[in-house]
Amino acid sequence: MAAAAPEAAPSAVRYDDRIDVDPVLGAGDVLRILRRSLAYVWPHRRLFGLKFLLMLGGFAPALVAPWPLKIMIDHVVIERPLAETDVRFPPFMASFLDAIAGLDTSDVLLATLGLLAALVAVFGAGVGETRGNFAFLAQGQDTATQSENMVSAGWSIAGGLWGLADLLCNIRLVQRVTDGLRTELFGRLVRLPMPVLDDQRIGDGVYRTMYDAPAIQGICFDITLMPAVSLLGAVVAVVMMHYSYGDVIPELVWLAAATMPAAFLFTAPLAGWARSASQASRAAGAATTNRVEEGVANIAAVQSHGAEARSRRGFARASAESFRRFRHIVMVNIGIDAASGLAMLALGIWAFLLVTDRVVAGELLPGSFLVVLTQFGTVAGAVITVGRLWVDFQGNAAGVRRVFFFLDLHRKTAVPGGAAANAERRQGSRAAIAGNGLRAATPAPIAEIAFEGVGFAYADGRPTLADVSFRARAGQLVAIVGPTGAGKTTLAYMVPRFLDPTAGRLLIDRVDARTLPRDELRARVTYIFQEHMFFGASIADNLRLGRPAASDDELRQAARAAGAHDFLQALPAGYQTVLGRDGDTLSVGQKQRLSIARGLLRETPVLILDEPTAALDPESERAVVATLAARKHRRLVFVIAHRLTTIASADWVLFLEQGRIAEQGPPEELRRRDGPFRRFATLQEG
Amino acid sequence: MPCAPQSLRLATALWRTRRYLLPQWRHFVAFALLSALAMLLQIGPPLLGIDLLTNGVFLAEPLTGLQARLLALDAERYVEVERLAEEARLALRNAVLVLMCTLFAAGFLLGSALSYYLTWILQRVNQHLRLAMMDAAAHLSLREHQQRKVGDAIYRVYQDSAMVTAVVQNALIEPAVALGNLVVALVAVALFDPYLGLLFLLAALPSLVAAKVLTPRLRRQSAAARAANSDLTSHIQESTAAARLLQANGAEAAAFGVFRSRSRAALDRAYELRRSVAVLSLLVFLCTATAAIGADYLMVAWVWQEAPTFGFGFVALVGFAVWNLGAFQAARERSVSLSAAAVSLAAMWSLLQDMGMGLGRAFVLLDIEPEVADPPQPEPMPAVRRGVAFDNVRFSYGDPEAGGDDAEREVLRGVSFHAAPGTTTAIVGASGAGKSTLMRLLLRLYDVDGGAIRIDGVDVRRLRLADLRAAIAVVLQENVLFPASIADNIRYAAPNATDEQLAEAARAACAEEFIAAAPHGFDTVLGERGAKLSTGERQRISMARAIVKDTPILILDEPTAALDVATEQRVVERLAAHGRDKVMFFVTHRLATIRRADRILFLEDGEVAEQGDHATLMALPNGRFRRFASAEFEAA
Repeated sequence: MAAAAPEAAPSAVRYDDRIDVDPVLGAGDVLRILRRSLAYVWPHRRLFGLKFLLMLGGFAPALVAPWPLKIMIDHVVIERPLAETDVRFPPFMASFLDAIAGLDTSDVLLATLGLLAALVAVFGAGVGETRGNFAFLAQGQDTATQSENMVSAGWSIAGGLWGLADLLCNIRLVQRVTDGLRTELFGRLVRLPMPVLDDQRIGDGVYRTMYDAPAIQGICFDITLMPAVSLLGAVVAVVMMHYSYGDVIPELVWLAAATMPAAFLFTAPLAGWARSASQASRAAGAATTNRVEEGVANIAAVQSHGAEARSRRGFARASAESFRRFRHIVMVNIGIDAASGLAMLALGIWAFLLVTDRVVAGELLPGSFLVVLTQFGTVAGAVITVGRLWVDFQGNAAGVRRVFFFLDLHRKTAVPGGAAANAERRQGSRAAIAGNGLRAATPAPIAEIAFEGVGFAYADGRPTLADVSFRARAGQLVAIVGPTGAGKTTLAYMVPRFLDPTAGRLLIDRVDARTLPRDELRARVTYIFQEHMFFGASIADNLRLGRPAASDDELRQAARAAGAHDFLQALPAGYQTVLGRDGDTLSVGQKQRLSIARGLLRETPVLILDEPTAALDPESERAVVATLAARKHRRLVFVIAHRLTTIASADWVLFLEQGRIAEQGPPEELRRRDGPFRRFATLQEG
Repeated sequence: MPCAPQSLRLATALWRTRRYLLPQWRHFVAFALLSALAMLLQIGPPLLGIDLLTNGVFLAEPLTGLQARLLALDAERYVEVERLAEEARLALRNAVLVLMCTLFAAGFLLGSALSYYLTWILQRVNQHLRLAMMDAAAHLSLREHQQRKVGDAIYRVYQDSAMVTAVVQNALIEPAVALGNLVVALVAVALFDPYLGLLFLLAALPSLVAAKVLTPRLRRQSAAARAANSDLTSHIQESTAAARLLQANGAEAAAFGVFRSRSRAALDRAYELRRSVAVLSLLVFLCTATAAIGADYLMVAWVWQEAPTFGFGFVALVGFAVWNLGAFQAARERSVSLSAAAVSLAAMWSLLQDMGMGLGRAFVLLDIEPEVADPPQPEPMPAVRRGVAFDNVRFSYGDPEAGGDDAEREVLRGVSFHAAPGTTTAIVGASGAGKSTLMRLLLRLYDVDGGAIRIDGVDVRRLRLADLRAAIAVVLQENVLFPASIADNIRYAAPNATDEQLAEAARAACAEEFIAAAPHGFDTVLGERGAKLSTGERQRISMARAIVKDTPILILDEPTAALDVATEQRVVERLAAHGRDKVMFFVTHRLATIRRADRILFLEDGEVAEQGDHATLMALPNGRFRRFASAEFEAA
């Protein structure tokens, strides 16, 4: 993954993506994706079964409706006696025929209209061709908005009440299946390992979750229900044709049967074309989202550098490209429609000639023309649908592949670990959903953390840490000190297992950290980042992030300890103030204090602060350090720091230089020694 | 929600789309003409074909003279006979087949071309709107941005702007087509017999009642569905951006729970909306289908009576003078398409409600008048010879119109000072004293609430924003790097900088060493928000970015907070050399930096408590700066 990143530049032109750089799909991949997609339908098998039955029922009107119409034309309008019929009526018409036998024509008219009315109300059929029921709302001219619509799409071959039920069942099924996938995807997204998060573009993640996930319903639905029901309907139509007209025009029956392979022959070669057009369109859509995100999220930087025009040009290019690629999809679809349409037209003309010959010869009545053409249309329609499925499926496969890629990334990048780590992975998202409930009220204490010859190198080979060994106990305040880029943050990332060592090991209470379940370990370690991240929610909710059950008192205590209480009180809405985007209404120093308060509130045995005082004035800093010193008696505190004030109150100093521990010991001792730390400290004092 | 203002809103929204539609008017006209042609091709042939096929081929009845001439058939054998001969019927059938196939193929080609053409036109419209929205978003002041969520902005640009093209397609083109179909079908049916037309008009009444009753509900549900989806998008965006934080706090499960509930809510709202749409369509369908069945009864009765058709003079052109099987079939087909057109109009009405909601949301963004805007007659940017002056500047982050409470939250309460070219001004003070705000005002990321900021005596509000910002380089406190190469990041503010200038700027910012050590040097691509670099390294890249811009005014907002002392010393030295003739501002806590400044501005509670050079301030007995500064030393 990371090895591919630097070389991503050429392909990034086409697929604006750092991680997913090889998105080309083969036919075999498509089948694998299909198998995997079906697993997401399984939990909803009852709804799926119901939809299957409703769909089957939906074919009834196409089979039944031509017969009352034939009676209307042949025996009512042109008043042929019922006995002089040209064909064998199907068995299901028998009781109706018995009922109208012997009635005079006007009563036959009323009875037939009654039957039609019933068919109309229930199936929406009988008033001409069968009209499907659908629910697509307005959508735009690109893949993103169309798949947004797809999440709640529904379709039914029937109209009327039956069609309504079928449609609603369809929408629910589609929603449930999509929801299952996108929920899993989201779960993975927030759990991606740190190196991946560093590389990942946010806009792309949003795009994947929201717009690619709906493609799964297309896969599951199109490849299972649609072909099964369509082909079943086609077969029934052929059988009925054979039953009623097999003696009169046997060729027609064979012709109808032949349409099935014909449709595939014409559309299958176009599948690869459809697939690559769809992939390219989705990738361009993601690129456009990225541009929007960059432009809006970094608005301060864009504006203060006078770069609005450039930001706009970048967006315009990306957007125009995504539109261009969508037009390719339109072209492909037109081509495919033309191919299958022509095939069916040729067969239709043949059927037309066969039937009209018989009518002219007097072997069939005009009403039969209607019946046969409707049945032939049912077969051809079903066949075209099924033929198109493989093509449509290509586009959906491209979307779902991007989703699966994300799901798999988690597995691929998981650092090689022990059995426990594997078990944790197997538990999957279901355990994670319940994760909050499982966590103990008070996390188990940690008495000692030991690094033994720990080294770390990024996947691209850059070493950042080498041979780091030290031991820290509860009750200590450990300062991690060193020049910029020395590896301080990398070292601290190891404790909550944001990163795992690539050499040596990290022992927590003498147990290798890699064998500890990650979630459980992180419940005992609090990491306060250098960057300040907040949610568009109230300050109280933001503070409670790591401990939702904290009481108001505890909230205030933590805020007071971080020196945030006073300015929070001064806000008009106090703790209930809803933060603007990225917490912009607060100064950096205030955000820093909020971050610290949020960390303190968790009350974990280990607390790590990454440059907690960089943006604080000396007075506020002193208050924070005093708080930390007061809290260390019950826990182990790591502080990454530059300021001597902070370092001075530490019990132990780790001085890092170029990824190695250059010196370690209590601060007073290091000051006495003529080593790198002393030089560092002297500079600071000026 | 009252109905009238809603309809008004939809109408207004539609009216406003004209700005994006008008530039394409030629295409729309061309499209309309071609569509009319396609409609003719769609309706004409079946009407002609059904009569020929049913009456001519099946029932062997003679043709009219016009029909025979149209198909170039011999009048002797086709018109002046009692019954058509068998081979004549077969020849007629072949002629009909060829005619139908030709028209069908023409219709198909035209239809395909039209659908591609329409996509192309609508994409052009959509592109213009997207760009307008991005422009609006980029030019809004930060104050407005704080109140909006990023995810919401994405959703608006993406989904809601797509609504404009949907408006064109669904509110203008498709209804026009459906309405056209409806009218043509109604006229055709009425020409067969006016009573049929009346019957269908009667069926329209209950349909209209159903639409009237369901419409407010559709609007409510559409608004709810959109809001729910926007919430979901925002949540995904925030969670992805803060994934590290969630992991560190073990809050993945909580974020996951929120996602689940919002996802469910979004789907439920979407489901409810679609259910209403489907129910409305069904009701309209049932109304028109009832009329169609009634029509069947009447038509059969007329066939039995061999009643003349109403418009036989006109209809006779294609052959329907009296009610017979052909007329029955043709009229029936018209009544079916009438009912289909009515149902699709109902569906379109539902779409229209949904689109009105979408457009309303899209225009909210376009409607915000940028608070910070170019003056109507901007003055030329001065050369910064006399320097920058703050004159009794007042500012608060709240909405200035909200008044009341916000007055107490004033961040700056009358700040005045002057900074000359060639001097360095250190802005010092406790967290939250208003230091960064001061600089944001100079950049016009916000406008002052009172007082003025002047450059060479010219109020910054009288300058063009682009000119002002081009004259100022900034190193922000929170370093924003873009996922592009290091070189591109440094060039961000000065796209035309040469490689030499780039290297020079990197040296001045003390960034040359780690850039050289990066895998691809200046061409190394950074991850999201530059996360692969350490904070100090990012800060130095931001600094190089500001330096390469080479502007008369340079602002450094806590430039050295994340640097170690040795690096900081070097950076400050090199910057001082670089900024000899510039107006430089440092927002800082570091005493080493402060000491070098020509003037120190000590802020307290939004006011300048003390100003002067380091020696002067330290000499003040009981000086506040002195007390503040000693805190830094004392502990060390």
